[in-house]
Order: sequence, then C-alpha cells, then structure tokens
Amino acid sequence: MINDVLIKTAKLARLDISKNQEKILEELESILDYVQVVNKAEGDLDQNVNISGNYNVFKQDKVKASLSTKQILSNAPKSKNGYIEIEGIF
Amino acid sequence: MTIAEFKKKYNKENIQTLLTKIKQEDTKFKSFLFVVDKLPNDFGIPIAIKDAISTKGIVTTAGSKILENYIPPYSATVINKLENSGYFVVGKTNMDEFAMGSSTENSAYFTTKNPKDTSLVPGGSSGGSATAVSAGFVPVALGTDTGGSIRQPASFCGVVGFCPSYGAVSRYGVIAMASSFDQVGVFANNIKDTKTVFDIIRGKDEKDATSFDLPENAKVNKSEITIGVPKDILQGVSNKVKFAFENSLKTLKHSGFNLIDVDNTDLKQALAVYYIIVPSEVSSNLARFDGVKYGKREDLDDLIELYTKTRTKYLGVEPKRRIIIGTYALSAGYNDKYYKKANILRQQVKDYYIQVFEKVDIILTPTTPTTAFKIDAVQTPLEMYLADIFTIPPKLAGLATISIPANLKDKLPVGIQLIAKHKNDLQLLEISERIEQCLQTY
Repeated sequence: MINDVLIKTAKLARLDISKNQEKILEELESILDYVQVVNKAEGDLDQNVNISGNYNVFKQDKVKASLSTKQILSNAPKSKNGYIEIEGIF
Repeated sequence: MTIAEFKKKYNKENIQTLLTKIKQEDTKFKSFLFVVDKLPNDFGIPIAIKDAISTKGIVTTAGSKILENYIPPYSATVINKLENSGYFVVGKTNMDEFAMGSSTENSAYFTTKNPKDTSLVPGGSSGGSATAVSAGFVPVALGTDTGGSIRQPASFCGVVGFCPSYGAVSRYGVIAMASSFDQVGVFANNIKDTKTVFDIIRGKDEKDATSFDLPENAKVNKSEITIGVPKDILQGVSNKVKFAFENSLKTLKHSGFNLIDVDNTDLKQALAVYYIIVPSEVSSNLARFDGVKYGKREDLDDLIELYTKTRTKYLGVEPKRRIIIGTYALSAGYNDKYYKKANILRQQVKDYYIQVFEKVDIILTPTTPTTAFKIDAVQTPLEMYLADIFTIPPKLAGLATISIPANLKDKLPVGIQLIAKHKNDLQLLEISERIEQCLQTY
C-alpha cells in the first residue's frame, strides 16, 4: 500500500523512479519507518515555529534598479523575443 | 594558514603564486569545483566559497548537474560584503548536491578527499570549503549549515567551523535547501579569523526578512562561565571521540570553567523531526528546478514530460529521495501525521534549550559521534543521517553553534561543539576564543 502511495507521490513531484524502483522504495520506507517516532507528539501548535524571532518585517516601497530582461534570460534554456520559450501547454 | 600568516607570506608581487599552488596541489584533494584564472590586482585576502552561494559571473552549481551551466547574474549579499571589505573569491568549493549529505560523496561531480588522510571523507556538505582551509589553500572559507554542514566537516578536517544563529547572516543569494534551517557560516584556522569574517558578513539585510543585527552581548568573565554537558552524551560515541572529549572536559575544568551536567534532549527524536521538516522544505524549494527558467532542460513536446525528464535526469539520488519524502509528508492525509507533529516537537526542542540556558552559558558536546569515515564506507541513507546526530538538535532551534578542534596533537581530528542561545553569537565567539587558548596551551 505504502509503495503505491510513494510511486504516486514521486509522480506528483515530477520524478520518474521506475529505474531502481525497488531499491528507492526500500530506502524511502526505512526512512519513513525511522521518522514514525514523531507520531507520539502531543499538543497543538497554531503556527509553525518562528526561528529567527522576527515579526512583521516591513521595508520602504521604493523602486530600485533591478536586473535587465537580458540578464535574466541569459540562463534560460530557450528564449525568444524577450520571453522564456516553452512548448505550448494546450 | 591564518589571515596573519597569509599576510606575512603573500604580497602584491607573489599573490598569483597562490593560484599556481592551488591548481597543482588540489589535484590530491579536489576541494574546488572551480578556481578563478587570475586574481585581482588589488591585494586582498583570498576566500573560498561553497558552491551553494551565488557569485556574479562565476558558475554556481550547488554540486548539481541541473545547474551545471548556471551563471548567476547577481551575487549573494555575503559576497558583496566580502568584496567591499577587501576579500576576493578564489574559487567555488565542492559540496554534496544541494547541501544534502555529510561526506561530499553526493556531489554530482566528484568526491573531495580529507587532507589529513585522503582515504577518508572530509565530511559535508561543505566538505570542499573545510578541505580548502585545512589544506592551507585559503585562510578562510564560507560554507552553509542546515543540519551540520559546516561543523561536521570542520570537525573531520581539524579546522574551526562556525554556524551563526539563524538570521544573523543574510541568506539572499544562497541556493535554498531548507529555508528555516539554512545559514551561512565561516571556516577558519582560529576563532580570531572566524570573528573577522563573521563581523563582515553578519547583519540585517533588506533582501532577507529573517535577518537581523545582533545585540552586543555582555563581556564574560571566565570564572563566571558555566558550561553544560548533556548527560549520557557519550553513549554510542567512538573511542577516539570519547577520549578527546573527556580530555577537553578535564582541561576546561583545570582552567577554571564551571562544568555542570544538564539534561539531554532526545537525539533520535530530534533527528526524526529534522528528517521530516527538512525534506518538506526541500520538496518546495527544489520545485523551481523544472527546466523552464534556468538550468538544464530536456526538450520534449509535452510540458509534464519535460519537467519529469529534466528532473529525473539532472537531480541526484539524495535530492530525489528528500523531494519524495517531503512531498509525502506535506500531502493531504499525511500532513497532520508528519509535518504538524514534527513542528510540535520542534517547538519542544526550542523550549528545552530555553530551559537549559537558564542554568548555563553554553552547552558542550562532541561535534560528531565518530572521526572521519572511509570514502564509500557508509552505505544507507539512515547511516549517513546519523553522522549529524549532535549537530542537528541545536539547528531545530536556530541556535549559534561552533566546532573547535579538540585534539591538536593527534593525526585524526576530533571537534567539540559549543552551543549558545539564539543571538548570543558574539558571546559564543568570545568564550570559544578562551576555550581555544586553554586547549592549545594545556
């Protein structure tokens, strides 16, 4: 059962694990087995733990110099007319 | 080589010979993924940078094939600060892919070797930076630490590794692994150099909303420093580490530090919490590597196929593993069972430390349960995760932590870890400097 869920999860994460599937699932299962121990946690939290201690961080809403389109696109695998190029979705 | 030793040895005339030295000698250790061709004419201090930190115009891969051709159009805040203070980037150091690992064996390019013994791993994920400092290529280096990625390799390579409080240093321009844990820190040969670099890179950055300016901590008096040692901390620790740790305790006691026992946190539970929350954040952070905006792409007609083929081909085994675990832990039906429960326990770990720090100034533990292990020796992911059993718990609370070499006369290095309250970084460094003196002179 858990294997079916993990295969589906991989698919949702856009990963193909069909190669070496058995070994991958085995390792994932052993990790999930290990982390089960958190299930004994009791209590409740209304929000996730705040690690930095900062609250409500604001900054001036001012326009500043930014990177040019050309600079941004310099790393795009494909671009055309100032846009990132990708196959049609429909 | 400390900063002072570097300044004695090198000057404007002979600085280029440092590059020759690195290019010749690093073939043994492979600490660098990339070394610059020429150093700037203005004489400055060379620094090695972990490849997870963006450097404008210099290829930045995070140890992954998916970013093999990525050249950042901007630099991380820490890089700008260093360059404005007379430091120059010598090269980018090897690391476990996207900082996921404890040995650099997960690098998509090659494994770095420990300069103390090349049959051993240097630790990780910032293994390249630790090696570059340990081998004497640079006086200082930057790394990033999520669960031990600075302190563990520092311990394995016999150098100082400092992971500041979460928020003390800007993460802007740092390729994200787990955003509520990642922190930039320093490798050096002593505390003085560590502090010099830390003072340059730290501080509030408008581009990182979690960053802040540190408060100036009160100066400490040695007789008043209380060090907490968690009970039973040496259970399951290797003999070499045990011996070095117990010797350090004796030295510190003789030197007048006040040592007391404190309760330990549940280390195995902390590790489990970490390996739920971190993969959860990983699955979200690594969703951006889809072959569309930057990095490698497998061109296919169907968009879903393009995403899947690109990610499957160019992401390594450990990132894939964590993405799947994280996606699973966050998915409907499992979120309450894993992610939420892990956060409840994370809060409890944070509370545990608050309580302990009411009694002590710092907590002392070994940095790692073993010394550096052989390359290819660790076979399963869980075994590898255990290498960070002492470095992970304080990171759940974002605390300031440092690893200092403890056995200066032995060939195989052992580090001790000092843990301080969140935002008590300056006090931690001050106490560390005194402890360093004691360990050196004793």
